[in-house]
Amino acid sequence: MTSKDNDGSERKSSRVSTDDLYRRSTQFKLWSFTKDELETIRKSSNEKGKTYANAKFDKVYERIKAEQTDIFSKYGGAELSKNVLVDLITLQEERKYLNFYSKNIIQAANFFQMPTQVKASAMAFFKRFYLFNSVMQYHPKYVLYTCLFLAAKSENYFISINSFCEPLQKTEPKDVLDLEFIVLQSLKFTIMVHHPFRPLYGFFLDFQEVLLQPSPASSDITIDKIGQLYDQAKKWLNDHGLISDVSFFYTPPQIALAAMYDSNPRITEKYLRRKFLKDKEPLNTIKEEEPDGVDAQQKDSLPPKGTEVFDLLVKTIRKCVEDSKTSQESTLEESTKIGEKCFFANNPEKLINKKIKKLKKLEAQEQESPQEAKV
Amino acid sequence: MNITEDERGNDMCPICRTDRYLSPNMNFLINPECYHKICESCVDRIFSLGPAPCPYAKCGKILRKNKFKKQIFDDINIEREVDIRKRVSTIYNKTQDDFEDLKDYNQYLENIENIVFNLANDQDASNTEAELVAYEKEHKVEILERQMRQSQKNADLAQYQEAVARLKQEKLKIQQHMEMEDLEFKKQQRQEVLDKLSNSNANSDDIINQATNNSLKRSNSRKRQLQQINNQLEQSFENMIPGNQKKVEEGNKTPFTPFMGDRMIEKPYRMLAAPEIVDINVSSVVNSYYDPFVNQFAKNKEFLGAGWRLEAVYERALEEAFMGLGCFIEEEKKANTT
Repeated sequence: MTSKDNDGSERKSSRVSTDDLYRRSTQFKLWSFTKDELETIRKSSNEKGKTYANAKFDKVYERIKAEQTDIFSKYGGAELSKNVLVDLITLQEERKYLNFYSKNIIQAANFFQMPTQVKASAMAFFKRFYLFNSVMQYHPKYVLYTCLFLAAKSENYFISINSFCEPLQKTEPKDVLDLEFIVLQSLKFTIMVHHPFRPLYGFFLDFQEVLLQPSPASSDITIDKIGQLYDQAKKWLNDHGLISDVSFFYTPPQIALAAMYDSNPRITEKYLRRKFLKDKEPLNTIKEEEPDGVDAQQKDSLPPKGTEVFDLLVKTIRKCVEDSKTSQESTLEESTKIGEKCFFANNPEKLINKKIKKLKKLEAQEQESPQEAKV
Repeated sequence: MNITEDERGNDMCPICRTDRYLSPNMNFLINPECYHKICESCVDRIFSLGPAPCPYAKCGKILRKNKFKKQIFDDINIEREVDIRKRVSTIYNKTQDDFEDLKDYNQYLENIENIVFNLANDQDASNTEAELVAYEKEHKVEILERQMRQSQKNADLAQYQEAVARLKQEKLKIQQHMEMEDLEFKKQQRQEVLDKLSNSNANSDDIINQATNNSLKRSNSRKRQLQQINNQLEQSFENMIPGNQKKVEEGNKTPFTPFMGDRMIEKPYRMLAAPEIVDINVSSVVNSYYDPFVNQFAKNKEFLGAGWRLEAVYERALEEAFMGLGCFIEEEKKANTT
């Protein structure tokens, strides 16, 4: 580990590699985490949301209590006590609920026929926003549209706010625009997102160079196979890459390679071997064409690193595949239940009023029923 | 009265009294020493044997034959001033480039004007003359240097002008040549048409139409040819001028590096060239990438006109494919926090 770090700083002083460029991006600086880090951040955001919702509830509770003293004096201890009423969203539930809404983003983006780039950016915005905010503070229904609208703007796919809101039910331009600054603030005003889609295309090209030029590496690898692999990997990115948390843990090229690896491990591994281990026998023809000076330089600096990088890369890719499959699935019923909770957490007044109404109804029934018994 | 006297003076040599009326080929010469007008034959007669005093009464200055010149301006005073100016400007020959400040340069010009005025109007002439000579002695080397520079510039300019003239001539020659050919061709054509009309029994209108079409086509192609030749000439002309080539060589060649370090020279990938023939049906491409979806854009003229290039697409994708491939977030972030 330490040797790698030294290596990195050495390179920084003389030549700026593309990896160093990535290390300077906000995506790496601000939006890349280890798993533990992400977990703690999410926990604290959930806690923050809970305290916020509690405070909001208390305020409303006190007000209504003062307004309707009679019913509170009767049930204040039991049914209308705070502990019974308040039912906040746990971390697990929040994750599930957000996952449910993430799928809605994809649907909405597809509905507007937005490019993949916009869809992916909107997704990244949404996920990053709820990293530091809770659904108990901002309801995801509006944040979703704000993120999508913002992503359309940042990715140069303009759509006017009116035509954006027109097909959406019960959504006014004001709802979307009011949240815009809050979302931007939570994003720390970093709206450049690196997605795995273009790296995937780059690998599609590089696969051709490494595996097919000047002659196919093995008889069963053809351009059609690679094309197929590319299409599968693209689908994989849409299905697994977008929704799961992998974009916080891995860099875009790693995710792209994971997508290819999961689609066709054999070809991908062959590529990685040839690329990083300099798989000797078939590459000889290419190597001879290269100028000797460059080759010698590479040999000096690379040999011990090649295998190390290869092992680390394969390990990372495998882990990425694993992580992408462990996203929080949720059924529709569960989501509606959490949605209800979320709604009441955001609008405690309605929660209390509903309960009071219920109690009053119950009371009326009770008053009626003894009369009926008498009759 | 004065005017008539002057006019008569203009036409008669005061030395030999020859009149222009009798010898219309007569020319007057002057000498910058005293600016007295003497006719050509008198100059030959008096000064052929060496320096001699001016034949005008009360003048007595020693004149030499080689200093005599033709009078340009009617007014002798102007002639004199121009001569003085010429002389002063060869000594005070600084240009604006030699001064950092425009004010200094203007001061310098003002100074020159003063000297010229003093010499021309005999105001403190002897002192000024002495100053001038002293200045010349003191700055002899610099003056010579500047003179060399100036003559170099003039030579360049002369060369350029010569080249332009030659180009023009060349063009004209080619044009004339082509016109001659055209004329010949037309004559021949006409003869052919006449022959055809008399010999064949086809429709006369058809034959004439065909002939006019032919000649129209030919003249168009000729025009294009001419244009091409002209372009070629102009290009070779541009290359010939030395000043033009120098400009290209100048300029900073080191690339800009924004991150206090140099960019990677060896790329982690080997980029293949864009396919030459974009054909969707051919699936095996040698030494290039196969991607029917993107490659078909390479045919789109609107894309190409707007600056879209297939290579740029490939390069960007490949560049991003390896951007951050070696960043292992889990390890690096952990290392940062501990």
